[in-house]
Amino acid sequence: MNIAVCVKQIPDPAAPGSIDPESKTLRRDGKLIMDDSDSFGVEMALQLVDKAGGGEVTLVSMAPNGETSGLRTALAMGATRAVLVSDPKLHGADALTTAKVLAKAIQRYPFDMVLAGTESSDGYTGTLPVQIAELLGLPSVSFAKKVSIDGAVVSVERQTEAGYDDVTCPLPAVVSVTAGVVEPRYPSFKGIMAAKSKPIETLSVADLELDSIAVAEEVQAVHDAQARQGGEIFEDDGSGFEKVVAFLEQLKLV
Amino acid sequence: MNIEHQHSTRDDFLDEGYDLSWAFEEEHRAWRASISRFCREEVEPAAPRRSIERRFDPDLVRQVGQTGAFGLLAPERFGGGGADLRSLCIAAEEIARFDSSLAVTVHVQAIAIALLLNLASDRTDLMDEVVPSACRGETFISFGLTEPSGGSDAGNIRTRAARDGDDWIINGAKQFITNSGTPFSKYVILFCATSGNEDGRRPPVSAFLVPLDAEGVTVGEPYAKTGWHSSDTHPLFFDDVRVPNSALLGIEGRGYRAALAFLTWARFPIAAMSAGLAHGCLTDALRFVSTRESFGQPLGSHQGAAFQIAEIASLASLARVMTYDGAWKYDHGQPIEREAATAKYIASEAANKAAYLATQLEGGYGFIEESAAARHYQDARILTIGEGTSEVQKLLIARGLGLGV
Repeated sequence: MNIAVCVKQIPDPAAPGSIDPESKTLRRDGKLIMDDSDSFGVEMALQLVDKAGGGEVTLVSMAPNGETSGLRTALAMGATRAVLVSDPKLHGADALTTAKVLAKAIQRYPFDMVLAGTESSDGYTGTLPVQIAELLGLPSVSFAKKVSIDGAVVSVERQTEAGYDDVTCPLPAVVSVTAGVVEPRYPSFKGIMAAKSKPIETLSVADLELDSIAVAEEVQAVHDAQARQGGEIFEDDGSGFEKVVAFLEQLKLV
Repeated sequence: MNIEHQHSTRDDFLDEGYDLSWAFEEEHRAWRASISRFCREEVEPAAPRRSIERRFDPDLVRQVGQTGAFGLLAPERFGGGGADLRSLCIAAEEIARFDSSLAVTVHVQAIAIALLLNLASDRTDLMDEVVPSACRGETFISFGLTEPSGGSDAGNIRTRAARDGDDWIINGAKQFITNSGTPFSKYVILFCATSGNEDGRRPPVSAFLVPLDAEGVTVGEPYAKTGWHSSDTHPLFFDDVRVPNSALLGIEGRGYRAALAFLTWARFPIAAMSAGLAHGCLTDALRFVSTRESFGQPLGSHQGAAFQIAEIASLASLARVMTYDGAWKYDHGQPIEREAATAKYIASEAANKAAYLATQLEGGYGFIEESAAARHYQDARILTIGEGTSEVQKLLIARGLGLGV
């Protein structure tokens, strides 16, 4: 069982981010870390390979400046290798461009399944996994909250608003996993040391033999979020509870 | 000289502490990031309850085992991490920011494994049997040196091992033995006098690996301690305990001096715990003075409180610098006798002062065991006592200066 996992390296959400005034996208020139939402895909892949009795977990990522910090974290968790696409030509790439790049990178190693997070914690488009599936001509199952493999079939509990759907799908397939599908492990000391010598293949756009990079999406403007308005204040004259109940009824909460 | 100066941010300082970029390699930073996250997510939330309930948590210990912290110093050949001293200090420091009881649990196991390997590295069968599960934290090895009549006079060992054919018969008692009564506790490295002292001199001391379930071994009731409430500490009693000669570690009569000389470096993880505890005091007290108002403004806007915060930050920085300066030297094969004594003395005293200041700043809240400051205050007290008191450290420093004390 070989699994490719999409891993995004993002600016540390704990540090204040900023927008590049030219591209109007998030600045990514500082140190990047593994997106937390991708740690679930990495852990799921490690567990599925383990259950299958062996195999390889290949990470695929696209990041500026040859950044590998986030990939090292995922390698320290136990992944086999990483493929990083890093090229100034990809500056300002939109989700579809990223999907084209990652789809090419995924095909460099044999795989039975592609795992990805549901959406990244910085861009939040949530479109990448299905785009990759389309580009690879594979079935796609999104919002997996439980994943198991039996032979050449993947079974998924697919999160819905009302509950979950039981979905089965032939492999190979692309599956996006929700936070909580598994509990990601903490990289152990041995894992960290082993990751130092694991291969990270760094590629340019030319290496991928992509026909062209044409970013179709352009951000026209970025606006600050509207400040929240202050709520209405009621002085409790003894009928406060009635006003609270009326307010909740208006929201159809009671 | 043309140097572009960078600036450390408040968040950088609160995350990691006083910047010591020279002291760490990339793997140290990755290890710190991993263990720090583990501590924030798994250790911190229930630390107050564990301490208040005096509860050792086996599940948490199993989780620590998966990080590899227990076996850091053991070679990979025996299932360890093959790590250096700085890596152990990082684990001790990060854990002690939230839970000194867990930090000492890790510390004692890590040094017991290292000592066992040092005393009997040629006994590969025994090492293969004992060390891998100890590295995973599945079995604990405790360190049986201190006696009821010993303390700083650690060489005054009255527990006796007498030859009986191919076996040894052990009688005596040990005091304050950490990790000796947990569900994982399996062995004690026991220091025993092994021949007579008819000429009035102290008898030679040997080290034995004694199973805690051997007939005649009694693990006494746990101590009601002033701090380290969720760590496990018991007295041990040995009543005609028969062990085979294979339990003898290393050469008969050379166990004590060899062990003490070897364990000089073990004071650095205690200094690291002191640095972590002082930093824990800083973050808790800073939170308190930033959110608590007095006389219409945040407490931290009053100079009296702000100066105390600055002092705690400085004490935490001092402890950190002393720790990693010495650990770096050890990892690079440089002498550390003076550094070990100085770091342990200065860092543990700094931690006590920081804990005093933090509880004083927090007033009544700092006296309630729910508060991190109160827990750090309780846990700090042992730091100037265990692994050699401050007085013993000063004695060593003075002797290093040529004084005949």
